[in-house]
Amino acid sequence: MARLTLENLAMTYGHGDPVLHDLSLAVADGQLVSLLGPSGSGKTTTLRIIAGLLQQTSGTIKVDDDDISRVPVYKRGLSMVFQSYALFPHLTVFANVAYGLKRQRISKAETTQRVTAMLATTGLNDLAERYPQELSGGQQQRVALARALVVDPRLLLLDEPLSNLDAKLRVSMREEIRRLQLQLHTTTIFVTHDQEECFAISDKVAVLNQGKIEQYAAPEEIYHHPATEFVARFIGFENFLPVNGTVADHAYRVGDQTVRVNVATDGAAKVLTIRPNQIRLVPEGPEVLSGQVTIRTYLGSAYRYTVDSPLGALQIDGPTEAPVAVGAPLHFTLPAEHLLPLEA
Amino acid sequence: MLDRHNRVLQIIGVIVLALLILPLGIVVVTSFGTEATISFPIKGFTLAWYANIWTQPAFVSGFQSSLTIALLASLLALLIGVPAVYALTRFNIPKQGWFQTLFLSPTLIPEIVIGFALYQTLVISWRLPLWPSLLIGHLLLCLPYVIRLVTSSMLHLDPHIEEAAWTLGTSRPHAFFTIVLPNIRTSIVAAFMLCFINSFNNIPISLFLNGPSQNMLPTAILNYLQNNYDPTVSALSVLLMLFTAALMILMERLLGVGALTTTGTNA
Repeated sequence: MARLTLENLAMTYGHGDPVLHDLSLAVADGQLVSLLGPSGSGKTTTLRIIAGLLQQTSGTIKVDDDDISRVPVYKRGLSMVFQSYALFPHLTVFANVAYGLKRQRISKAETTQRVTAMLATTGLNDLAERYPQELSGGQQQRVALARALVVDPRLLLLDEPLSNLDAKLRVSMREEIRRLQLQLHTTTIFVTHDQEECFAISDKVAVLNQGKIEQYAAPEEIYHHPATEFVARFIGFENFLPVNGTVADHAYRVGDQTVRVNVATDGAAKVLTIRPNQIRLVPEGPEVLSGQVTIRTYLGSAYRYTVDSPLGALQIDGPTEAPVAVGAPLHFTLPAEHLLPLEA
Repeated sequence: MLDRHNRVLQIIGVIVLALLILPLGIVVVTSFGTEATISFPIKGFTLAWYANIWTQPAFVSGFQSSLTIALLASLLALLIGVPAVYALTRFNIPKQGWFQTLFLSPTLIPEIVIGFALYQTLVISWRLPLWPSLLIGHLLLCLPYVIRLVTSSMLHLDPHIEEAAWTLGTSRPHAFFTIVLPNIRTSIVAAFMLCFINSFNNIPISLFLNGPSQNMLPTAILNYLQNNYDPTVSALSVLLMLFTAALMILMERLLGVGALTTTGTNA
């Protein structure tokens, strides 16, 4: 129930290379914001700095207008859910959830009432007297959420909370997290390397690469208009065509071909990108590009072809009804409305 | 085939058990013998040797000092060992492996050498009285047990559970007592028991560090045997077996089955 502001966060371990450079981020009250990036991108480091488990080399962390940059972890009033759930093995579910309230010296009656209410919200009523090792992964996850939320944290920090669950449970748990987050209106930071997972539940996504934010925007914006080649690669664009020069306003030279796009860029475009499923397969004809299939893989919903074309090697998806053999030619066009020019 | 295999194993098991238990059984039997020297089988039954234990001041005072030293050395080993293990497993300490080896080194050196070295340094060079020297010697004996058992249990404990406690508003020391300690409790009790039993039974170190003013039970038994070969020692051995067994039972009750043999990871 608060705004979070990160200003120029930097982090260096020992004498090594910096893991965060000048990272700034503003999260509005009640939003769920994801930090998305590959391992080593600095997303967990950022989360641990917000929590106070790591001390940043420089920079400021503010919750509302409260500067918590140097406040010790146990006084920050933030809750964290860990990848391993980190439940207290010697305490029952009830005692696990009550732990944070006990530390706040809240009366026994109020503790019982609040814990019971939280167990009901998270669907754990029947498990109150169980021990963590007697619970399934999904149940442990709920206990971890209940324990974090019962203290009314100013921020909820989630560190890859779904990565230890199987695929089916992952989907239902992420909906559960979103439901709770909306219901309690808790400002939440969600760290993940799974693009689909974070797009599904986030208000905004910050894509991190090597300790820098590459793009911070709504999921739809990132999906349709990745700002950089890194973001594009991370969210499923497979084809990157290096631009040799500009022919006209909306036309670029790629290899010895001219390629048209619909959107213009402010500066000079360096690469054009397109998703494999946005390349259109057409019959042979004028203005149609052709290439030879070198690899074919089966994706279930489509075949993916690696095609040796005048534009270089391209990844192209084709329908499962009409498979094209390796070595055979494939004819296609690049629809101007799907080609994105990127400046970086 | 499998049956025969099992049969062989059974026979070996029985032989091993017999070899372990038979001598103890003989000691128990001889403690009731009427002969003036330890002999087997016995000719008559008496409890006189049990009464005789209490007429030997070396046994009574030896028991008292062995008990005190074993208790104090075990407690001190925990007070030094547990924080050391916590630091070694949770903080980024330079030369961590070096410290680990240092703490375990008393197990690598023959105890008789440790005893002699301590005698040379503490008693001869530093002129330390015998009692503190004995305590230091037994502390050295105990420390490796604490380090080894508690380290394995700390390594099994997810470090994130402590962090979770901190984020929920608990300071680091408080989290240690409410979260870490209850989860390594088994290994601490097991380490205490092992320390106590090893210190209580120790001869090599005590041999160098005790004297007329300060004797320990095992060395008192050794001394007694050199001069008298009568069943008083058997009777005393029976009492000590009962004492150790009582400790074991107490431990089972406190920690559940197998606490000693599973090196005390979280139950």
